[in-house]
Amino acid sequence: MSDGLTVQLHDLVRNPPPHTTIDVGRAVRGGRRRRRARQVGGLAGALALAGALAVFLNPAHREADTVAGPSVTGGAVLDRYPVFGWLPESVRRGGGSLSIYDVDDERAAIYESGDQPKSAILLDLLVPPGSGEQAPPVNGNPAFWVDDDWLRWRMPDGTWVQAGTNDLPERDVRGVLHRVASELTVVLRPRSYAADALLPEGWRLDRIEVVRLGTETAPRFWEQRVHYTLHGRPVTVRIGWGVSRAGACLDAVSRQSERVTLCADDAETLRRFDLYAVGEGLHLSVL
Amino acid sequence: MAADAEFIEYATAKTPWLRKVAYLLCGDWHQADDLVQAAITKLFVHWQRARRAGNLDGYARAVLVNEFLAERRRFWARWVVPWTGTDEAVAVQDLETALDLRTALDALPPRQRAAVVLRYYCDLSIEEAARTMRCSPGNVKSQASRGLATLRRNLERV
Repeated sequence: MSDGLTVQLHDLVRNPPPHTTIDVGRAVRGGRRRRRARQVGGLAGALALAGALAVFLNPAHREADTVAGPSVTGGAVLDRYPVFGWLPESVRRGGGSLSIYDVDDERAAIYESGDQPKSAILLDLLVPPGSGEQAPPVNGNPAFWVDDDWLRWRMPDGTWVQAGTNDLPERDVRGVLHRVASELTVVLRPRSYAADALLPEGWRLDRIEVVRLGTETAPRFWEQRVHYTLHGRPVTVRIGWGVSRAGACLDAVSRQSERVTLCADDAETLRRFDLYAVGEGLHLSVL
Repeated sequence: MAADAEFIEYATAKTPWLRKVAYLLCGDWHQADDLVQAAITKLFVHWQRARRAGNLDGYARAVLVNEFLAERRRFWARWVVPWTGTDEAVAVQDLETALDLRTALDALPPRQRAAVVLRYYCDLSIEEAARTMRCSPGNVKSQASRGLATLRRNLERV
């Protein structure tokens, strides 16, 4: 298929529409503004670093030092959850929400403001070390900048994490990322659902998400959403407390005695899931 | 401002190519224009570093792909919070009425789609695609393989 696919992909873009909104001049103007903001931010960051060093070198202030860093002992990517410490005000505003999702064997997280336009901190867990422009160490661990203001650093357990931003109004993006990184911990929580169980023909695991609405200081319960495709139709398994409903849903309990809500677009798909759950050892009991 | 003039010349010449790659990634010419606009703005910010990279086209393509993946992360977050089922219903409808490769591509998760476009449109090796997507070669192999399988399945259903 691959040779034919290459030809088809080229065919697909053979005749692009002539009108385009791309403006190279606008890119230059916007890019210059961002360069200026980075220079201002860099100066502020240098001053902050100098201040931090002064505190560190003064024994009178040593007691104020904090040792950041979680104790992570390994584990699969699906079991990793970020816990944010400091976040910029623009991201916390409006309550904010934390979303964690998996795509195949990738895991990422977003902490996003509740306001419009949404500002966000993006996080990728378990990235390869790679290389890039040297950045100030994060809690004493090596760090560097990759691509466009993504900070990649080594966690105390030896794994690498990277963070970026979207639509952040703060001028010193690098300073923000560095502070977020210095207070970020990654904890291991056992999965509550056998989402990677062997799926029968016709079932496909699309992704897993863990969503928590509310702020870090006033967290609500986690809700885990496991998305499947069954013969082209989406089925979402929702695990958690007080989940909202859409489409056809039924309540069940898992073998771990968790409350599980199964939702699909129609009752027929839902019935198939019920049969699958019974037949494939997911041990769900319909309430 | 020789560097700025050099950037303008490069961006003007490469915009049509980047636009095609962007369209294959996002499936919409308007979104593709937005994606390219954001990517070339970032390229300008890092123009000095990009020039030193040795492979300017590869650098520009990596900026574009990572802009796409970052944007998709936010899209997915908006998609699920709060969950209403509406968007999923639209996706199903799209699948059921799929008539061409474009629709089949739209059904791919972002990273699978990026891997397929980089491997089979941009003709990158596994290692080059991995550098572009900032992941391991094994991950690209997995994403491209799953992407192809999903494409095949979706096209057969048409």
